[in-house]
Amino acid sequence: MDNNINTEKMQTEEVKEKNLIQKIFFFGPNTYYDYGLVFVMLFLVLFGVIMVYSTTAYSDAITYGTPYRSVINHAKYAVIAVGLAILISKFDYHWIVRLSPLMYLLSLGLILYTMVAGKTANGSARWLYIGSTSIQPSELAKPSLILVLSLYLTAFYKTKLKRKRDEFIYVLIGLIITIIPVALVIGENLSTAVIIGLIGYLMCHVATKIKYILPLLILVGVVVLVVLYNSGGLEKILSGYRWERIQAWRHPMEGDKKYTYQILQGLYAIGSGGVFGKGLGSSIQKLGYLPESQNDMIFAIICEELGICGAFFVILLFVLLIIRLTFIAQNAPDMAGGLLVTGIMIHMSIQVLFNIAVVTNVFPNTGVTLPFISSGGSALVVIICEMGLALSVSNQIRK
Amino acid sequence: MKRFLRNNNNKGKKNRERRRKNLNSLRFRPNMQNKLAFLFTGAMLAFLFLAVVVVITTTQNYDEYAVKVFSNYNYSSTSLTAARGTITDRNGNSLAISEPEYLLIIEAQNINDDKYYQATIAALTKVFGLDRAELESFVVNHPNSQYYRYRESDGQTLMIVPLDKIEEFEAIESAVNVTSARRKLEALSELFGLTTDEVAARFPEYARFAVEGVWFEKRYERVYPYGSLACKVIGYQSGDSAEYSTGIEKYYDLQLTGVDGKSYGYLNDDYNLNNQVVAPVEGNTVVSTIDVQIQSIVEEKIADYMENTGAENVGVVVMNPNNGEIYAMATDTYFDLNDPTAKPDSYTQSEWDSLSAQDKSTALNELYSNYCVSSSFEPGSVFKAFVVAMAYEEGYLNGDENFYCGGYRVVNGWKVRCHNRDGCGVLDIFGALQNSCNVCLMQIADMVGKEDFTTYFNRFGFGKKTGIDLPGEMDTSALVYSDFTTQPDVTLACASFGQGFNVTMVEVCAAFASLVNGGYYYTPHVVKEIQSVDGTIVYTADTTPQYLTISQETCEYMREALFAVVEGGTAQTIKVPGYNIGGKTGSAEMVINGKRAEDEWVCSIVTACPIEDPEVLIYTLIDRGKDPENYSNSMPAQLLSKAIYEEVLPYLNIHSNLDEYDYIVIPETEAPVESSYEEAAITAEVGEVETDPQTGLIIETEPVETDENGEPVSVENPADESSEGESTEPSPEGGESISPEVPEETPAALE
Repeated sequence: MDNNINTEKMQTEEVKEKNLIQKIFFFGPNTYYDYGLVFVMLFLVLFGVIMVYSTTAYSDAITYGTPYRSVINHAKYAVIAVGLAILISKFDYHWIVRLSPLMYLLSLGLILYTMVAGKTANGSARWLYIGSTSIQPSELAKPSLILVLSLYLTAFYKTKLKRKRDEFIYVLIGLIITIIPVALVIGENLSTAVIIGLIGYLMCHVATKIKYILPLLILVGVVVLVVLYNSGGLEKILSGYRWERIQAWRHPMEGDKKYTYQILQGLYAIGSGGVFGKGLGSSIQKLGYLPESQNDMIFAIICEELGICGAFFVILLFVLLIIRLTFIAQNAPDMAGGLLVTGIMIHMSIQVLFNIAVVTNVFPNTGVTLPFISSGGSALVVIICEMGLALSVSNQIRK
Repeated sequence: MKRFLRNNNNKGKKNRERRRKNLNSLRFRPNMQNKLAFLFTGAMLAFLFLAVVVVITTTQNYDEYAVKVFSNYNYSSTSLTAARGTITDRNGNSLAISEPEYLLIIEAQNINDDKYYQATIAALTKVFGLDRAELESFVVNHPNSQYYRYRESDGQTLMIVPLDKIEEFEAIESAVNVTSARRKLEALSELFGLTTDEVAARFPEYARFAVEGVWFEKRYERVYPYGSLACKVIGYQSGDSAEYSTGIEKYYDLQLTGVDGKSYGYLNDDYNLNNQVVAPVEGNTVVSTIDVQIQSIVEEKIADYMENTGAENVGVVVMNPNNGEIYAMATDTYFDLNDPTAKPDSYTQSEWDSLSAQDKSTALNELYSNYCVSSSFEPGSVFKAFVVAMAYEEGYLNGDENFYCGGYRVVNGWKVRCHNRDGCGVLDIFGALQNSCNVCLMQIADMVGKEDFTTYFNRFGFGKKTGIDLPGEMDTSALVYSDFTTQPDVTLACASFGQGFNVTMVEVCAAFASLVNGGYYYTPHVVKEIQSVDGTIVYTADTTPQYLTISQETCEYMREALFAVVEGGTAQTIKVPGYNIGGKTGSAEMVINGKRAEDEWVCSIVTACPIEDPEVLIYTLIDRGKDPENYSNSMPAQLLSKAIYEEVLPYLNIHSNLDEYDYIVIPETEAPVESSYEEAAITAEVGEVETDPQTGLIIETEPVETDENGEPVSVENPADESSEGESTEPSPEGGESISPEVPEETPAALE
């Protein structure tokens, strides 16, 4: 008897569990899965591992006596992240979206904590050390914002507008959600703040029915910046090293060597590559002449070793990736998924564009990593997990 | 209030409901899709823009940036100089060798380290005797210098250190650079000349001392063991560029140049620093055809001649007529190959010092030039041998013709004289050559005709480079008539005795060799073969004949004719007892400023020995010899040739046949010729002798002043003052008289 009861109980529990799994993991009947995205992502990750090995082997061999130290660390993160991404892609993203406010608050908390207790690297307190691994909470803020905005913008979407004011309030609250992490990060890490701000801003722009808010504000922003720069106001607003970086960007050849060095060495690396480059592994600039060559400046090493062809190849891969993301967003089963992938696509585009623009000195020098390829733990994990989210959305596209 | 709350609650509930519904069922709106599409387009445009920026950055700045990056790359690789190949003579005597020498290289940056400073400076001063103050001031003042070729105290000359000193230095280096502190202390005490206690007291940190930052760069110096011997052929090697080298050094520069090796550091697959040495490959050995013995004999004889007589230019080529190998080639000027920029002997020190750099270089280039290949001249009567050969070859002559010379011949209304103003009388072909009779040769050329003359002229290689393997061979194609058929008869007439066109010495040598060797035209050459370092032959000179000029039969005939010239003709002076030499003399009045200069003669003789089977050919040329009695004839050239023959023939193991003289006995030729030489005018019947009735021999009316007609006038009879004969009427009977105005002393006697 007891046994019977027990088995019955177990059976019901099993059913319950199954239901829960079914609820969390999505195995729909007519499931689509964007293998194109998977392929491009894996290709980029592998290429990244190769490039990180190429750039770090020499300095590692000199510093640590083994050429593999950095690349193993990088590959470890990549493997973990890809595993995580595949797991995430099988989650029903609605759950993640619903839980996103928690994540958002957590990331804000971590940023605050880092500001107080974080160790200083490169002159800014950006890193949080847990044991031996360091994480950059501002990286976490990006997916959190994307998720929380897609939740907010969907949940509060009004199909029928009673008052025009409601739409403004709708956008305004979205922007406020964006501004909070931006405000927290901007003091320490301008580039991340700008990226977070742009992600949130553009997501709001996509969600709202108001058409001209984006171009208008961008225009105003540019005008204000130009006026500020010319009047000298920008010099007062920006802290010392940022102003110097802008000067170095404007006049790379004659600026203070302390700030122009990296830009110039990066340009030399790009310029010396030629059409086909010096050959994989043959970069000279990586032998200690180009700071952060395995990180923010890895694109310059790609240009040096693989030439214009290699650069075009990488750009093409990112273009393919963005095409896949746009495709998923356009075909997303619902608004939450659509906005989520839109956010990811915006994040991806901005990050890649910023990185290449910095390396080619189109933008002033700020630390933006090249997704998938730059060596680095948290940024790599975050961006790959975002791909997992996009795949999760793609998984619910009905055929 | 309550209602409001309830309403509120209701509203909140409704809102929450709606939000849940929104989240689960709201579709991605079309306007959102549109905006997304816009963003996508913007991103794509931005990517395109950045791609363009990358292309521009690369293409516009590639050169500049590549250099910048490379200058970053101070991971130096050292070049290891390869030795230049040796040049030897045909018997293996070294004519040019590369000897290693070592330069002292100082890496001040390393020496400046406290650990290395004391020991290194001490070792350098001790072993090489360097001035300590000088060395220290250099090292201290150049803290970043990584490479400095140490100089002597004058600050100019590079310091070259002998090998034994280097070994001594390396011994000290390895004694000091040991880990054992005790042994290091001992080595240091010996180095510093102090007791071990003193060293320990003065340098408390001595345990870290080492000798560092000194090494020796090997390089090669070009040495010419024979100094100026064969300088025109070997040439000197300019350190700067092969362009400035001369002779074989220049012509075979690529073969002589070795492949430099290098020593470089690189990172292997495991990123360990490895040092790799690619050994240099020594240049190939060039085996010249020059024979040091013959060359010295020739140079010695020329020097004798220059000392006793002197001339503007003297050129001698000694060649093997059976394959074109040149045994010796010399001119009257020399320079020291080991010091090619030294003052030439023809200048006094003060003259030389007063010259500008440019004048000096002009003078030196003049000195370096090889008269035998780089200068041209009119061959004169030497060419007559070729005219006879072509006439015989083509059947215009069969050997028993006789010609009459009345002293001149009228061509195109020009009176072209024989050098013998009195006329040579009746001559057969041998006689024509023996007397070098212009009139006979004009008649023979006339028989040959312009067409065949042109053919053979080209076939003998006149007017084109022989292709000798020496730089700067003169191209005479613009100095000859490429086609005689378009020229007036007088051009042909003059050409028949070697005037009106220019040749080089090597051209004559190659052509004459074919006359006597059976008709084979060989390219003259000064390099026999080239061997790589391991002895493999990588190149052999082409010793197959280029083509045939004349037949064997004609060749036999020519040998007899040329032998006759030496035995009983103009070349008798050259006779060497016991040897059958055959050859032809020639002398031509130089044309200076378009005018025949009376006292300026180029005299030469080309001979081969033994004529029945020639083994050696000598061409001797004296340009404007200073012998007051023989400046216009080939006597000095013959004497010079003879002097050379006398020593070269035994050296070449060509046996004297004094006892077994059995070659061509031509009693029926020789005797009449000897006699006819004096009696021809008497014995010959004028009418009978004249082979060509059209040829009018006329009385010269008066000698007209020279030359307003250019070429033909200027190439007129060498023995004459280019008298014009345009107004003279052809007279039907020949050989009336000689021109009364011509002074008997006219120096043309021999030819």
